[in-house]
Parts: sequence; structure tokens; C-alpha cells
Amino acid sequence: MTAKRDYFPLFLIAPTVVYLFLVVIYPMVYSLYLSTTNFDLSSGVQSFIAVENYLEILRDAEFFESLGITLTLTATTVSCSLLIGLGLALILNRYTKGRIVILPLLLTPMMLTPVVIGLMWAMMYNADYGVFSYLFGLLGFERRSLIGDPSTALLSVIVTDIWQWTPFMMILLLSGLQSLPQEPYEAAQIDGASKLQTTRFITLPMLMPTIMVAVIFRTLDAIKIFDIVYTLTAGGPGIATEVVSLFIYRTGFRFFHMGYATALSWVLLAVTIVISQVYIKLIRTV
Amino acid sequence: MNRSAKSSIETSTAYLFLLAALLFAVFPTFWILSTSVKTRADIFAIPPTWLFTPTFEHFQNVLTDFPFGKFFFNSLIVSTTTTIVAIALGSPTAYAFARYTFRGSKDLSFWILSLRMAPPIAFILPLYILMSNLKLLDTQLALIIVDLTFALPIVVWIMIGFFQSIPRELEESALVDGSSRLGVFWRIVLPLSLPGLWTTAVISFIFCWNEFLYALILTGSNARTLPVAISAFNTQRGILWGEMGAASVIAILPVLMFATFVHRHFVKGLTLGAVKG
Repeated sequence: MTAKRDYFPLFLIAPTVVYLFLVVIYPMVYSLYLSTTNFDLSSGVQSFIAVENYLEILRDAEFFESLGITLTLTATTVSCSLLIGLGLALILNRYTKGRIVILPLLLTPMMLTPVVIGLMWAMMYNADYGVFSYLFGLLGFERRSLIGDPSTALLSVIVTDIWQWTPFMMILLLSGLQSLPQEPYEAAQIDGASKLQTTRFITLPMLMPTIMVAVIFRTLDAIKIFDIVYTLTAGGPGIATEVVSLFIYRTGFRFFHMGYATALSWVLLAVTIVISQVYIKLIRTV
Repeated sequence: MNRSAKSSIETSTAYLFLLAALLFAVFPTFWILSTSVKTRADIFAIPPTWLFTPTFEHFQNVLTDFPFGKFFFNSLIVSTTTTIVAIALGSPTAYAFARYTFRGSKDLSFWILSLRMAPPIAFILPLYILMSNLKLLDTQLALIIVDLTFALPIVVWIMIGFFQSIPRELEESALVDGSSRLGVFWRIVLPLSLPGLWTTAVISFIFCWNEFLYALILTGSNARTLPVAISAFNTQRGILWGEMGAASVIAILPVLMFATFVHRHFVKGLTLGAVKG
């Protein structure tokens, strides 16, 4: 059979694909090359050093520190926003009264400019004039800067991130709940299952694919967090909140070690790919 | 305890939770809005003032002492142009993916999706050097070129869903009547998808408007966008909270205005249509 090749769809997709190819693939190849050099942005020095950068990363304690911070942040913010989001979605799915007003208000944080979110939370966390430290003072705690103290700084960033992204979890899960088939519920009612049993044994298993998608997207976004940290703590105090993206940014644009920074960014890319592959395997099993 | 009393307790608990969530979700935004219209004395008052006479002096300061008008304009130009180009290039692509399967179409569409997953810091290092070699640093053009790397995938993936929801029969009957396939797309499919196009455009606009990392690295004093200008405020010194609040409100106002119309579809922008919003 000799089907004539249909060029019409190719003609429609060509501009997008060519564009993305040029602006993404070409720089990535260039970046891979840079990662094998000691390119310094300020002096312009550039010589081939093979895998030396990657070996250096393995010895770089600050990198592993920032990777640890990023993974801690990711695990905490994803699990907390999943739990809160799921709870809210279950409530909103059953109690529909007032939802039309409540829902848009609940969803606002995920659309706000992250830089602004970082700043406004920094104001609220401020030790002297921040409304949070004032409220903590009322509760009898010592008034202090939550983002200035190394022991609470990461937690403050996490709370802010949960604030922004719980709405995302909530709306995804609510959409998932609304599209579930009704028959299993009717069967459960006939069998006399309690509400808790129904949720545990019918709703959650059926919702699992949506939960997985929400968790994947949230995880991959949390790993590349930059904006909020940049304005909220700038990685500080010390390096208590220095996430990987910020560490790479500093390496490349503050210390101008561009060769090393590109090698770091390839490691981050590899971590991202490994995590998404693990998730894809998990999705296949549910 | 009888059944109705039990269910009314459940209902009140549920709404109590919702109320708590609502307060938590709304409070920070309310706080920045109120800070932007408080006098200096009210901003630094302890305990915080809840009732006050609003003032617009910070907005005036932000527009006169700092060139926030210019930054706003930069953000507007970059976000609008990027969105228009993304719609122009992306919607035909989305239509092709929605209607045709060809060799490699699955892989290509997945590749476009995967761009959304990669960390932006990995893209921007080489792009910075390329832009610097092309003498394009600190121009709106550089930012538009780079912003398209996320705006295009967003448009393609959201529009695939919209195109798939249009019944094929309309296109087929137009083809029988002798229209060309391009003509069908232009005269029948696009007009029918207008609501979807608008929604997609607004979502793409918001993503460009909020974008920070690329703008931070690629722009200087000339093409600086609002998020970059705002990030330069230093909270620790705590002297310019009113101005900071006013600038923040200027930045989030367009988003707040659009939010009510697109909030459910916005999720599609984040998940690239992987879940029906």
C-alpha cells in the first residue's frame, strides 16, 4: 500500500517545532559543551577540562547541602499541600453551598506573581513590624524574625509555598472528584458502607490517577523553586534556604563560574528526569 | 445522637474548615492591599491598625520616584507580544495534533510537554551567553524569544483540548462543499474556538507577566519587567513598605482582574491539559 504522505499537518506544526528546536535544543547542546570547560564569565577564560566539573560536583558539599534543602522542601510542600488540598476538595465536593464564592477566593494564590508573594510574606514574617510576629507575641512567644532564624527559615519558605500551591492541588482533585462515576457509590450505599469507608475504599482508589498527576506536576515545580526563595530569604540566613536553582544562579551570575554552573544544571536536569521516570513507573502500577 | 443532629455537626465542621482555609488564603493578599494604602505611621503601628484612612501617596511615589510606569509598560509589551506570537504559532500546531496522527506525532507532542518539566535555570545559562553574543541583552526582544519556550507549549497543550471538543462533522461538511483544509481551519475552526483562544491567551499572558528568572538574568535597567523591579525592594531595611506594597498591587492587579474568568482553566496551563480543568 502506498499511502501518499500528508504534508498538511507537518506544515501546521513546523513553525512551532522549528522554533522550539532552535531556542531549546541548540542552547542545550551548547550548554553540554560548556559544562566540559572551565568557562569564566568575568575573565573570559575557557579551556576544555572534560569531566572535571562533574567530578568537582561530587566533592561539592554546598551542592549536596542545597540538594538536600531542595528535596526536603519538595517532599514537605508536596505532601502538605496534597493533604490539605485533598481535604478541601472532599469538603467542596460534598458541601456545594457558597462554593461559587469560596472557590475563586481559594484559588487566587496560585495565580499571583511569585516575586510579590515572597515580598509580602517577608513583610509579614518581619521581626519588628510583621503581623505574624505580632500574632505570635500575643500567643506569648518571643517575637522574632521567622525568616532570619536558621532553624525556622526553611519552614517559613515551605509554609509560603504551601500557601501558594495548595489551591492547585485542591482544584485538580476537585475536578477529579467531580468526574468520578456514580455507580460504585450507589452499590456502597446498598451495602451499608459508612462515609469514611466509602471515602477510603471507593473515592481514594478511583481518584489515584488524578492524585498522581497532581503530585508529579507539583514535585517537578517544587524542585525548580526560585522566585519565592529569592525574594523571601535570598537563600539565607547563611545557606539555610539555598535551593539548587539559587545555588546555580549564584555560581553562574555572582561568581561567574559558567562552566561549573552549566554542569550543575545538567545534574539538576538529571535529577528531574530520574524523579519523573520513577513517577511514570508508579502511574503504570496504579 | 440522632441522624440530623450528627449531620448538622458534620456540616458546621466542614464549613469551619472552609472558613479557616478561606482566611488563610485571603489574608496575605488583603494585607498587601491594605499596606499599599496605609500611611507610613499606620504601616509600622503596633498593634497593627485594621481601620485607617486610605492614602494613595505610595502609588504616586512609585510612579514618580521610581520609573514603575516604564517597568509596567515593559511587562505589558513582553507579555502581550509573547502571547500573540504563541497563539499564532501554537494554535495551528495544536490543531494538527488534535486532528491528525502522523509518524512521530506522539513523540513530538510529548517532547513539547516535557519542556514544561525542565528547570528554567538549565535553559537560561546557555541562552544568556547566546543573547550576549547577539548583543540582545537588556532588550524586550530577548525576553520575548525566551518566554516563548514556555508560552508556546502552554498554548499548544491547552488548545489541543479545545480543538478536540469541536465536532468533526462541521469540518467534514465544509470539506465536501469544496473548502480547502487551511480554509476550514481559518474560517470554521478558529471562529468556533474563539472563547478557548481568549482563555488560552489570558493564561499565557499571566505566565509571562509573572515570569521572573529569565527577566532577572536577561534584562538590565532598560527592559526590566515589573517582577524584577519589585524584587529589588529590600524588606530587611523595612523603610519602603508602602512603596513595596503599591508596586506589588500594580503587579498583581491585572492577574486579580483576570483570575475570576480563567481560574479553572489556569490549571490546564500548569498541567498542560493533562487533566480536564
